[in-house]
Amino acid sequence: MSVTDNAREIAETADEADHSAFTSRRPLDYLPGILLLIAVGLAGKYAEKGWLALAKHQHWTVPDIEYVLWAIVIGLLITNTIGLHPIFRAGVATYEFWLKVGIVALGSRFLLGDIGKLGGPILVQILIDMTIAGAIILFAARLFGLSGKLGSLLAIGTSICGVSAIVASKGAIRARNSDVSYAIAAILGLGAVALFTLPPLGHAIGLTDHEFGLWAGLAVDNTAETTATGYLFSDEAGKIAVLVKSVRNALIGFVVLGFALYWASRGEADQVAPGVRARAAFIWAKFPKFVLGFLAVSAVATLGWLNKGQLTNLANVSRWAFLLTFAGVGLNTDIRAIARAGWRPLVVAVIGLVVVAAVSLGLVLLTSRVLGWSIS
Amino acid sequence: MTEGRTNVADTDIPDHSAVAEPRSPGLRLGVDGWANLLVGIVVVLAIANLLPKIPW
Repeated sequence: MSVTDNAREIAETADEADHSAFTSRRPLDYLPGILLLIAVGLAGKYAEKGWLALAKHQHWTVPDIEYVLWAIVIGLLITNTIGLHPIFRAGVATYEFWLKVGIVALGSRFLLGDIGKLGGPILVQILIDMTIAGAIILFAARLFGLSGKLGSLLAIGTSICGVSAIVASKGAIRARNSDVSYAIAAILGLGAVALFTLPPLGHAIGLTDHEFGLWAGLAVDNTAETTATGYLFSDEAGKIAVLVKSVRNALIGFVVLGFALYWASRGEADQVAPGVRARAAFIWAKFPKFVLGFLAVSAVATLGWLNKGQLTNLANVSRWAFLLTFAGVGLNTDIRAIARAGWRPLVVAVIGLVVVAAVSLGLVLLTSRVLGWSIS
Repeated sequence: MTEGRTNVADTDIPDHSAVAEPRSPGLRLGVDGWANLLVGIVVVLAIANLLPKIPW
């Protein structure tokens, strides 16, 4: 394959990752699934209120179960009991789109100066976290006899941004589709575990909203699960988790390029076109463009073009979009499909989760409580 | 980032020529592009005071 062909494939692979939310060309195909997302999201929202009202009426002392968890659990129950009818699939897959809408609209809640101020410390923590976690995953993958490329995929998925990073890398490192499936299943399993374990752990440890947001942003691999984990703890923690995860996502091109160059040097992947320009094009092809929208909306808020009521409106757009995302996370998580991947990649992924969670928690506590780095 | 949950067949990745089907201009914008466009419209409406109050 020529360098030009390779560059074209890289661009197409990036497109492929980007298009996973839009699976049909007929707009009407999306309607049933989107209506289901809305129904599950609303059911989650009202379940939270209903649960508290019932507990109050019966004089029970119960924890406040957030709408985020209700929406995910209702979605999970539907998919893993009665199953998702094919008519809903196209619309339900759009939850990735609603996630991006939610993040871009969330830009209105950050001033550009704050992003600049937070970005430096966050970037340092991400780089330390990524290096340690990536190295341990590669070691664990070798220990459990996984192929080198599966190890690379798991390291990319764990250290950067989950499934999309894996999909974006598969063409660049010429991974087998079976390895891609394994890595995706492992990362999804890991995301589900993190979603249900990190928030109670965060409360038990006594983390602040900002500390937990930073931890979730560093430790959870998939952007949708990161957002849900953060919002499960608190609104403020969700906001910080999204910011941290967006910085992680912005680094995807550099990490994929590194792995592509490594496998090309071993003759097991196509050569990446030489030269700074070609490599800059590679990084740009992988760059998540929603980050630009997030920064643009933040710039509008920073310039003072929106009054308080308009900012509240945009924050509510973000909340509704996230609500559809959380419903989609539950509806798209097929536990049987994850279990079918076998135990070895899952063990490596669980090791990854424990290591990443421990390393990132250590980093969060070190920077916030020992070094006094403030991200508020 | 976008996280697809599609099932992938247990085969080698297809030849790039098979992936290179022409796409419609609508799809070419991508998920991120559509999200940026939608929120961009909402922000313009908000600045112009044309966005109705959105409850939560």
